[in-house]
Amino acid sequence: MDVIDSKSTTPRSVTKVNRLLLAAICVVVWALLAFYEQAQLLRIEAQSLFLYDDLFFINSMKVPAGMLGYIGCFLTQFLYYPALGAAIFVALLAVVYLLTRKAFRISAHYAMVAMLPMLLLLATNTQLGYWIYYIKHPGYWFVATLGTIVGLLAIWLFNRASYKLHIPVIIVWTIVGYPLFGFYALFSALCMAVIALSMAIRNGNRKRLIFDGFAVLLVAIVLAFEVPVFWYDYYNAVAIENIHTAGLPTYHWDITSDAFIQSIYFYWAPFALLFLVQLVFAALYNKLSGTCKDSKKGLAVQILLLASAVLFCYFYWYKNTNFRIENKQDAAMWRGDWKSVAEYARDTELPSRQIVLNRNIALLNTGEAGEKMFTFPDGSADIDAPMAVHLTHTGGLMSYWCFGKFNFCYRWCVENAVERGWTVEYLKHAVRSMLLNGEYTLVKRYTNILKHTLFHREWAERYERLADKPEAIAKVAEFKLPLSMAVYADALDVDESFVEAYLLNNIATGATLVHSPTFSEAALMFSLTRKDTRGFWSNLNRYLYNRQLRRLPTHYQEAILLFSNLDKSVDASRIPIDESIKNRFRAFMSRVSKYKGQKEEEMAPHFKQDFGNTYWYFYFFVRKIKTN
Amino acid sequence: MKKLCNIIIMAAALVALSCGRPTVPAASEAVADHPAIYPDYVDVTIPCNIAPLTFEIKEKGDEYVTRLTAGADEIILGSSNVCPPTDEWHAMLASAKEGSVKVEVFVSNNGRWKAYKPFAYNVSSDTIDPYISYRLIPPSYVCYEALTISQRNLTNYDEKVIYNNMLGQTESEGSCINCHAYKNYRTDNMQFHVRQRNGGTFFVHNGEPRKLNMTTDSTLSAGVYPAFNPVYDVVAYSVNKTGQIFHTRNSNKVEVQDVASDVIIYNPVSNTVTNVSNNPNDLEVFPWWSPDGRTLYYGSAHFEVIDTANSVMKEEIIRYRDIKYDILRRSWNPDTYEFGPVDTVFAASRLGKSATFPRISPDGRYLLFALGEYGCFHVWHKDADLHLLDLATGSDWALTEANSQWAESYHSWSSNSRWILFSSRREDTNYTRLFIAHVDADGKASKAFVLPQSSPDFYPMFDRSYNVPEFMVEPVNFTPQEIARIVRGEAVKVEYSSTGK
Repeated sequence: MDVIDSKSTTPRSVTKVNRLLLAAICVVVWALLAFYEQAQLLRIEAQSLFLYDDLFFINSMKVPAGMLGYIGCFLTQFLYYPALGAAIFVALLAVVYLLTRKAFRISAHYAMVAMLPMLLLLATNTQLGYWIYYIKHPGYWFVATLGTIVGLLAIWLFNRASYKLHIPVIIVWTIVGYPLFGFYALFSALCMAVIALSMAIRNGNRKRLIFDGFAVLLVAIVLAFEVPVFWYDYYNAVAIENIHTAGLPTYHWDITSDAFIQSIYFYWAPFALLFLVQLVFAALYNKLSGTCKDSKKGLAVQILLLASAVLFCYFYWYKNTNFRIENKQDAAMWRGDWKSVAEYARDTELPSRQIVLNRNIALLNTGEAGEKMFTFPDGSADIDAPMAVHLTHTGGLMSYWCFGKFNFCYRWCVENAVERGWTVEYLKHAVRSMLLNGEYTLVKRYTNILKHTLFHREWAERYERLADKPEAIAKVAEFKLPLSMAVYADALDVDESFVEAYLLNNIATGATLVHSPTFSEAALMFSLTRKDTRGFWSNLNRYLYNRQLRRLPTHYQEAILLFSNLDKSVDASRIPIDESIKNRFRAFMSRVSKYKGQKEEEMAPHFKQDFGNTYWYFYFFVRKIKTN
Repeated sequence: MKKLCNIIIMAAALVALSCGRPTVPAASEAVADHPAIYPDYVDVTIPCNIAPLTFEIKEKGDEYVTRLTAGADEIILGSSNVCPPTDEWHAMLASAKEGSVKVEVFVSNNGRWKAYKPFAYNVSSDTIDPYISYRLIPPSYVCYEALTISQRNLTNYDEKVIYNNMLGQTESEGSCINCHAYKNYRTDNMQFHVRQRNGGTFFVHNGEPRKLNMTTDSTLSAGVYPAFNPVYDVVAYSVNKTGQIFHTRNSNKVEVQDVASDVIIYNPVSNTVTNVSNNPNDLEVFPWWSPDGRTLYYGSAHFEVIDTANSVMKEEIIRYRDIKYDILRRSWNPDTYEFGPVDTVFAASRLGKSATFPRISPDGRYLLFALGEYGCFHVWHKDADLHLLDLATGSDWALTEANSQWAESYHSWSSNSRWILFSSRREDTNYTRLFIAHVDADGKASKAFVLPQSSPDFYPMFDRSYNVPEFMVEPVNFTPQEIARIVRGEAVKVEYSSTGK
């Protein structure tokens, strides 16, 4: 027999189970975020900015729901330590659970359903994927949770007010709450009205139904429409089309585009369910406050709902392998851990172009490009996102910097900052690119801003010292690759928003007079990627001139054999080739003869096992590369 | 209890004393140099009605005292951020007209006070127009999003948004705003353009706002850079086909080039436009009217494609340093709407230079323009400087006192012809800030000073550039939302007229 808690009618075992369940969910979510999503959390922090500065606060408050964005950005900075940031987020989810129970008077017997909002809030974050580079919503990761907490608190307080105060409370809350919390204030006002209506209906008194129910609902609906219109005249940074949804994310809303459908049915689903669940709780106010008449049936329904929510979270969790690898590579690149950057590229069967670019940068850094470049999976996986994802918005800034294209790196920092506001990542790229471009005054502008952050001050001070002492720059190991690539004269050029295509063409054709061994190797690598025979021979000459090598790296030998075989007019007989590579090439060509007449897709599997790590395989079977 | 009250009173007195008015140290060691301060307001000439100049003392110290004195007036401030109270400041300037305010800075380290060499604010009795407007935009290249056209009261720090781009755009449909302009410093005839979503020109004619669609089949584009005729009811515009191309190394970063441009005039009464000049080998831009409204000035570059295999754009990219703008003018007859022959006012190309943004002082004496090595978009050219041409004598000179080693570009004259307001990138090389300089009757400029803000910390943290600074004698009184309603509405189509009437 259950022991009844002295303060309530809830058996202790039920309370205990609820607590254990909540603790289990919190621990699992925290562990998944802090470890499985560690690299993504770091990237989310880098894609955000919180400054300890009056102007930052003033600017945050220039839009409705600005307070949510401000606090959201404040909390996002703690994702710099993913375990800490995840813990804060999970703690807020637990608060959502507790307040859901308080606000809608949900007893321990129905506690499982009170976990639905927190799980849906989790899904609003874990569904993002590439949206982290595009969403224009400061503090996104915490805004919905904070907005929900504030709304639930307001509902809880509303429930403690007498009937006579219901309408005044809703009026005051919407008028005061909208500027600070936007949509969440309006929505919670609607929930309050639904609660009032539900109570009035159950009361059975017709007069109360009209005055305490429908009248309150009518007032709340009118206020939800009219309060933003009233405030519209006091804000000038939001279009009239967006005033009612202030505080909610703005995904693409072009009704004619495919993205619209995906936005509505995919990205908005967790939000829609979150609000729907709360409205249902409001409608059932006080009905879930007691014990369940049919406890088994009730428990089964609750378990079903909770399991559905967990499955929903699983389904909505963005689990794209390439996205995760890109984030891990990015974190490793900032650490200068080039071995890991390259090795992460092995964790996918079909990489994105960003992964390939990062891998090549890593191999250039470690000096292993000629030996390893084609031993990795290669190709161009489609980006799993409803919007067009360009490297200029994701990892392209890092690529430009590593390849010494400082002005282009800086340009995209600024362009992206125009669209989404400055972030830690844009600021750091701006600092690094302008430092290596010799624009030290500009460096200090951005380090000064970074010095107003909590966790990037030391980084900024280090770069500021370099700007004060430029002669030390050349000695910094981190700058070795970009400086060795920045050996070109100024020219007017444009990348048409395609980072990889620009780099491939520009570098592969730009090594003619360059004396940098690194640049000439990059040019050689890119002529191989472009499958450009003429470019290869030209770059090989420059490469051999710049490097006094006893033995050519394997892939370059492979390319020499292949290209001299394809174009008999080229005499490469005097270039020493390893006997083992010659033998392997003969075996390759023999197998080509064997499968002659078959389509490339049919032939590829027969070559993958034995030749998948050669340039020949890349040349013949890695086709239709689409860069983004 | 009485004892406790006494303690509280004493503590309160101590707190009051410690928070009280700072005092100038009785003894201090003199330092031969001026103190390092930001912004640099050392020995600047200021109008007698300007907002207080706030600055930060960049010398290391434990305590700071700054004393401002003008005659019997004295303001003493005790912080490294020197922010004079507005009322006391204006009273001080009123008494210091044609004199100066002496600024003494004292800094204490470990109890030892240093007195830096004093500097002065030279107070001119020439007042400055009370309002300016500008566009606030990140120093962007191609993208745009959060930008405003704002107005600022120069006698204090009040800034208001005239129009915010975010009012007119949605996530899927962006818009851009640019080129605000006024007739005779007044706001009952004004305009700015909206591009893309809700595109058109917000145009106020004699106080009546409307939205115009200025595209016609006979003109190159809708109106771009505007110039209200100060006397007659016409507006000159350049019409441009513009492209951008990016430097891979140069700190100038980007070239903004016109592949074609002409000048047109718009008659708001007949709602018609007409071409003024449309020679395909001449790139005409940045029109400006003489104060009597009878002469149109503009920049013009002659550019011909040498390699016929190239498009104009490609050739301009290759030969971008060869594009040199001269300043030309043509007389205009307001009765017939006819233009006279072209007269070269300043042949910059003969000097191997490029001159843009001609602006004539309202007294008609001086022509102010930006002079750089090449091209028309000097805000991205660090060699660009302000240059003055005396229209009475024909002599010209660089405004060395106002210029810096970085880009000085867009500029405007105050209505009394004694102050110039211009954008400069001298602060950090990328973010344009507004500077003000006095120009005396002989065309001699004083050291320029940055537009004062309520806090000296403002500029280092402010992530917008100031564009197109214009003086105004009165504020724009439309609210941003009122303008948004016009912008969202239908545009009135402008017709082409061969006569211009």
